This record gives sequence, C-alpha cells and structure tokens, in this order.
Amino acid sequence: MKGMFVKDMEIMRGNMKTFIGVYIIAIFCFLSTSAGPSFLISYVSVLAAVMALNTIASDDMDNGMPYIFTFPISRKEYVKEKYLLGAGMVTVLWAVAVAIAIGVNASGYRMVSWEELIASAAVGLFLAVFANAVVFPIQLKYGSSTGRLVLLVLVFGIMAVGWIGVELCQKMKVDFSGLKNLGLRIWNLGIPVCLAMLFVLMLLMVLISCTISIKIMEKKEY
Amino acid sequence: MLLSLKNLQKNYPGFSLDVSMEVEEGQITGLIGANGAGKSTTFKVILGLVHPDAGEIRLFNKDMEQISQKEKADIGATLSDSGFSNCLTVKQIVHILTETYEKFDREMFEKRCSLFSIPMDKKLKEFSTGMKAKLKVLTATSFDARLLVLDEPTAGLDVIARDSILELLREYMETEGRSILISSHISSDLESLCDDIYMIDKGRIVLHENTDVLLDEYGLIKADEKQYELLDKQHILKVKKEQYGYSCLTDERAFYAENYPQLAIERGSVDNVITMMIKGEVL
Repeated sequence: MKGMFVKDMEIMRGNMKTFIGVYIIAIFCFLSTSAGPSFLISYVSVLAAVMALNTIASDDMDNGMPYIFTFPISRKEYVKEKYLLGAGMVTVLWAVAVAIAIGVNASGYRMVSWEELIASAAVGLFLAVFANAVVFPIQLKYGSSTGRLVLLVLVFGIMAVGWIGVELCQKMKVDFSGLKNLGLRIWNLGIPVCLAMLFVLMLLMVLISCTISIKIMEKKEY
Repeated sequence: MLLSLKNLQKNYPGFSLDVSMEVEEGQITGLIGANGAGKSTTFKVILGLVHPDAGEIRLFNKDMEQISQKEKADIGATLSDSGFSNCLTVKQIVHILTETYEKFDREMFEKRCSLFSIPMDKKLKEFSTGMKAKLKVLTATSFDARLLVLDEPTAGLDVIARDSILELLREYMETEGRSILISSHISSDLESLCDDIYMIDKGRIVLHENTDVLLDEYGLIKADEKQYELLDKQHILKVKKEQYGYSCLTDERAFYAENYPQLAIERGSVDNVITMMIKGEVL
C-alpha cells in the first residue's frame, strides 16, 4: 500500500502548481472580499477531496488501471488506500483552512462569532467527506470520463427530485414543524454533541461508501 | 512447475476461452496466436485482471486464491495496452518501485535505463512507443521476480531495441528458478527465445511443442496434385489446398526428405506451423 501512496503523492506533486494557485485564490478571496470563513473552509476542504479523486482519474487515464493491479496490491487495499488518502488530504487541508480562519478571527481583522466559525468548519468538513463518499464509488464504477457524466446526471436528478418534492409538499400543505423542532432539539443538545453526531454520520457515510467501492472493484474486470 | 492452467474458461458473447498450459521452472514458454485468439485474455486471467468462469490456476504450486500479495511481488508483468501513468517521470517511477517491491534493484534499474537511453526526468507522455515498451520490460525485470508474464513486450520496437530486450530476457533467465511466459506477434522473437511454444486459436490451444522439435522436425511439404496423391500421409498433420497443389504440415520432415527427395520441403517455422494449424485441414 505504501507504494500506492507514493504513486499518488507523485501524481499530486505533478498537479501541485495548479492546486497551490487555486488555494491562493481562495485565501485571497477570503481576505479581500466579504466571503466568510465558511467559504474558505468549504472551498479548501472540497478541493482537497477533488485532489484525492484526481488520483483515480490519473490511474484510469490511458487504461493504466490493469497495470496497477499487476503490482502486489489487492483491489481491497487499493480502495482503502484511496479512502485513506482522501481522509488524509481533507483533514490536513481542512485543518489549515480552519487555522487560517481562526487566526483571522482572533486578529480581529474580520470577526464572526465562534459558534459560526465552528459551524462553518463542521459544514466544510462534512461537504468534503460527503463529496468523497459519493464520488469515489461512481468514479471507480464508471471510470473518470463516464463517471463525470453519471455524477452530473445524479446531481441534476437529485435537484429535480428535490424540486418536485418541495412543490408537492407545498401543494399538499405538508407540515414540517416537527422536523424543524427536531433540528432545534438537536442544536439545543450543545455544540459538542452536535459535532459528535456529525462525526458519526460522516464515519458511517465513509464506511458504507468504502464497502460499496470494494464490492465494485472486486467485481471489475480489465 | 511455476504456473499451470487447467481447463481455464472465460466466456464472452461471441468468444470463449478454454485453455490448459504449463510453464516449467527454468523455461521460457511462448504463446502465439492471431489477434483476438485469446492471448491477452489468458494473460489477464493469470494476472487476476479478469475473473475466470471455470478451471484451475496454480501459481508457485499454490491455488491462485492462496497467493499472498508478497508472493504476487514475485510476478513481473508487461501488458500490451497498459502501463504507468503518462504524467509520471522515470525518476518518480523509481521512487514508486522502491516502495512497492522489497527486492527492487534501484542501481541496476537506473544503469539499464541509461544503457537503453531512457531519460529519467521526462514525463512518459513524451516517450516514444519503443521507449515505453523498453521501460515496461526493464521494470518487470527489476525486482527479482520468479515469473515474468509478458504480453507483447517487443511490440513497437525496432530490430536493435528488440534484440536488446531479448538479450535482457536471456540474461534474466541465467538465475535459477525463474520462468517467462511471453506472447508476441513477431515469431522470430519466440523462435530464438522460447523453450516451448503454445499456439492458440479461437480461444483453444491448437498445438504445444518444444521449439527445437518444431524447428528441426516439423516441415512444410509443397506438392503438386500428382505428388500429393502418391504421398504417404501417415505423418501429415494438416493439409491446405494451394494454387500449385497442396501444402502439407508434417512433424516428420526427415522421413519425407529421405523418402521423397523430389519434394520441396521447407523447414518448420512458427509462422508456417501456425498458419497451417489454423488454416489447414485434418486429413
């Protein structure tokens, strides 16, 4: 597995200039516009997830996947390595973004409440983990180019279903006050409990996604 | 026995593979066949890239399922249509191989790259087909693998480069306990390299023969209608109708040379044997 990590690091090193450029733009936007910490943290975290996803696209490029599996690595190990890489990249870059946001907040350059900062950090992390959990299996199943198309169809499909759902609920006058109360009750449990629940939810998402990805890879033929 | 396949089957719509073959320790075994005959599918099943529908694969005297990842490091492979990512350089590949294979010989690999004029700092996307082919073989032979599975390793190489690669493979075989399974479209490569050759057609092995026997004892008889009628056909394997009469494949060339001195008999070669095995008819 170490060899695969090194391979992915080498691939990412090749794209480093582009990624650094994009990160600098994100920090610049955060410091010079009205964009809040949620923008910086979400942007940087999701981009970290994209960096990890990009290594699958590189493996897949020019039909490279069969050659990789002639190496002493099982398909299960390959999938695990990708999820570990994704988790590592997201954690490190999310932590850097959070540290910058805290520094800016503490310096008084632009103040937001600490509750807002914590919520922004949690949402940013959740978005990145969600992106990896959804896109990894799709990319492994369909490959990078078809995978992008499938993802696009999926996103538009979800949006369409959501819109139809909202319209229907409005027409049928569905009462959402119970759901609102549940949200409020969870929030009232306090920030540490909310964060712990979010963490468990992310862990579950990753575990389910990883299991699906392993099954996809073990069935796949090259 | 380093590798054995017993009734290995894989079915696709319009194509079915059913092969049995063995690769002995210390031997170079060739697999030859036309495009779409099943060579690459056979290689892919051996390498675990394709799941077989039935049959048995034994590797290093173990069932394929029992092969650990550590033992998988004893297999070096080249695939005709797949390799390292084009965005990597050889320097980066060295780094990857160092961390992937315990027995990777960095010094030897770098020395050979220099010998084969492979640049270390250029990205693979800037490499010619020949350079990529050389790199694949150099990689497969760089970590003391016991078995090499090489699918078309000399494809895209010029004569000089091909010769160097074949020499490299001969050198690789100087260490005891190693074997190579190789496929190639270039029959002269296999004739000069292999100890034995399997011929595959439409997913089935149609011939397995020791290369020396094939070259020394097989022959292609060219006979007109009259000569063909008088021919003792007990050692004729396949016959093909030609404009001049018949061409006949025999595995007893000496018998016909001695008893029919007036006949034109060509020495056996991989090309004429495979052509006759595929296109010829059994008497």
